[in-house]
Amino acid sequence: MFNGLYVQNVPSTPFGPVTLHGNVKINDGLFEVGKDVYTLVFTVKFKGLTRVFTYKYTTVNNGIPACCISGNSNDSYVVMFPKFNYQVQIGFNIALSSNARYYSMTVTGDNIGAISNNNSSVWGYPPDSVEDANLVVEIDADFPIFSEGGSDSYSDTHSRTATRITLSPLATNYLPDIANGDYTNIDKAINFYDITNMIPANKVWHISNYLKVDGNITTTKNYDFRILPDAKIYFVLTNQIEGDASPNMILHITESPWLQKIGPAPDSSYTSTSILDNTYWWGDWTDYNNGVSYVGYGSTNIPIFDSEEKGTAYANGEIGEDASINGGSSSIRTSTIGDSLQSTDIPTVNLSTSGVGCYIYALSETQIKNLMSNYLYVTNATEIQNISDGIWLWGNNPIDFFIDCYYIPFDITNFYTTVNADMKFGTYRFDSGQGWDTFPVVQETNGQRLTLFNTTFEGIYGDWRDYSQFEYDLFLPFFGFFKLDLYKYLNHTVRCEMMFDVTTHNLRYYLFVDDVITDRIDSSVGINLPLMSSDMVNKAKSDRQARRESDRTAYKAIGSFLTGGLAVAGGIASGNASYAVNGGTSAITSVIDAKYNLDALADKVHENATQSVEGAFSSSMNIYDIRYAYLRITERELVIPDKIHELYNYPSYYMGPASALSGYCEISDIRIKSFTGTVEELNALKNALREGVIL
Amino acid sequence: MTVKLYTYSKDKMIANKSPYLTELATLTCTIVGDFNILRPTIRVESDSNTLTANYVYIVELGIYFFVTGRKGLTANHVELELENDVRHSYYNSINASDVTATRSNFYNKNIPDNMAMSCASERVTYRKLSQALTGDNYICIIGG
Repeated sequence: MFNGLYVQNVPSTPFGPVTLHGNVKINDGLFEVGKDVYTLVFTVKFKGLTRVFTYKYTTVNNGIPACCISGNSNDSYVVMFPKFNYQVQIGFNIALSSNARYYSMTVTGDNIGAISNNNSSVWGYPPDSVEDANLVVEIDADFPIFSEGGSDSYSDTHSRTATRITLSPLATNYLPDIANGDYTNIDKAINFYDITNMIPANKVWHISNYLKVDGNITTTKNYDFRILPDAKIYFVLTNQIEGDASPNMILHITESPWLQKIGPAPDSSYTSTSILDNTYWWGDWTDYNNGVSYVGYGSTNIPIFDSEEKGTAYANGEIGEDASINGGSSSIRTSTIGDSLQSTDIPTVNLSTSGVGCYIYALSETQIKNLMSNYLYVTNATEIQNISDGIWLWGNNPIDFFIDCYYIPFDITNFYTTVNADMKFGTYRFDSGQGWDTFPVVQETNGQRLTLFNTTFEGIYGDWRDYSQFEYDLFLPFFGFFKLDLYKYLNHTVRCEMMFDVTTHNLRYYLFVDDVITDRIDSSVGINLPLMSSDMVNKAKSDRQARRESDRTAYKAIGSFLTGGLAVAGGIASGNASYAVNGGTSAITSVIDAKYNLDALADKVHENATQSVEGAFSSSMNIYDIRYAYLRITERELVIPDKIHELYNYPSYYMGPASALSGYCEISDIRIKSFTGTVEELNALKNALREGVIL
Repeated sequence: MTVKLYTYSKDKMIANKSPYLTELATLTCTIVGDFNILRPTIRVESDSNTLTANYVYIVELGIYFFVTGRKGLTANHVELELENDVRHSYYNSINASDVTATRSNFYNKNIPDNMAMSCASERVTYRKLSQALTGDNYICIIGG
């Protein structure tokens, strides 16, 4: 095998037809003039693609037979120069519609001996008098594949039906928000133009091999390519040199099956350039060529990987689409060992939260504003009745009935059921029968859990690197990042359930692997409303104190009047008292009773004004958290020297006959079956094998 | 004893060096000092071959040696310091034995490659796992 065949004049201009020039000289005289018909299989392999040209040539007396591959001189061209100074020279020109970047060319062939490179030539030797020789020319290259159908007014002369993936600004709504870790819709609509706009500020995502050159589409867009149904396609986003304005997104296709260039698309006359926003990728052209799909960007999602290596691993079937940055799902591996701590083992707690000294209401913003504005401090009775009602109703400041009042940034019904009922403050009830509204009352805690996600955390490479060079941080709303133990979670189906305790603001996340409890994470959420902040309390205190003094004066004046039999002068007491007097004799007894009660209650008010208030105040900035769970996968760049496996083989844990080993090996132990040396030689041998041996 | 002199230019760790040995001469030799099977010293006649050979095979011992040094050079003799090449000498024994290999052509992907190096840069990928929690409530816990 020879690597590095010189290829001339490979243009770097994207999408321009590429012509490879080269020739192979075979130095021997085994091709006999005029005798045989030789068949050579001429295989051109692009990276991931293989195209085979088979042609025959007949030697003639020093003639120069020419053969055009596939009969299309524009496609490829091969000239044979047999039996000329013991050389056979194969020249070839292969025209490719691509902007492929040709990294190398490889020449291989059965019975091909040493092949040397002489600038643009490859020298070699022919097979030993065989008629059939295989000469393989491999061109290891990226190859862009695209198939698109033009503008909105695209007219298909073949009456093909197609599913069009629109890459227009209309797709903006489907764009993933990469900067915020949202790849949800990255597979729905790929708008390359907008992808470039999604580049994080400190990085540049390079996109190449896409349908854009300085904002315009080149004429080569009008080709159709066929990919057989089981082909795999993937994108690779490469984050390259910061500051380089040339984005780079490479589209790859797996090696098998091979890609077939169909030819100019029906709209090949469409030669005008157009901005990328009007570019479309078409898929599912099912009625063309016996139902084989013609896919540019098809109806199936194309995974996008952030490295060539991952993409290659995907193409080779080593990893699934789930390893791509646009996510997915994969199979479940179930733990079958030991006793499982199943999710059903989490107890159901029937903690009653209603009618046990308190009621818990889950109000909307409108409802709580209505409550505060129209329900508290307002009654519909006379002033004296207000006093009585107020005292009996509230006992003291109605705020004091608030044990807690806080805001949560999610719907409580995710965790609890609610039932509309009359609102109660102490012994007072806002009777809906009297026209008051009802409010949603939280029912018993019953262990209701909300499943946040249930997905598989699949490794990227499928080997030790998944564990040694990655960190997985799970972001949970209102908690933050939780570092995942990869040995516990990787390549497992992970479920996260959330519980919330309405009485304490506390929340808990359970993590399950294959339905087995693996971790629990506690946090709290909610922001207390400043109903009882110190200022408000002091205000309440002073207000109530002033009111108490006023009322007590009034009450005591009333009491003095009543007990002393004095006539009440209109100006003696407050209006409240005068209303009491106006109540008439029939009211006296009750007012007397009230007097004593009022005295006691007035003192009670005074006493209560010194009470501390309920409710704790906590820092609750986590209500501003992102409210969905996401995974932050940090991969440390790993450098594996190119030649490492060639020179030093692979990490291994091989136990078996040494005869099966080859190349560099480190042998930690050996079970000698036959040894004629001394013990010290044996020890020296073991040390040498541990140090390394090339077998 | 009979010693075959070679030149050898490949990796010392190659077990079977026979294909890569270039024989220079076959001479007789004598052991110098106490014989050490791992690191003997032999005396051979001095000529261009003995001064250029870097690998020898002592026929009677059936053992291959690296030439690790030369000393005592006179007009007629030179002493060669040798080191037993146990990999080659017992190549057949190795091949006929069972071994445990921690690095080989049998790739165990679960074992970290200690020859891989981690570089400083990191690549961060985000993957959204759930839908966002929506809605809100004002929770009022009221005595009653």
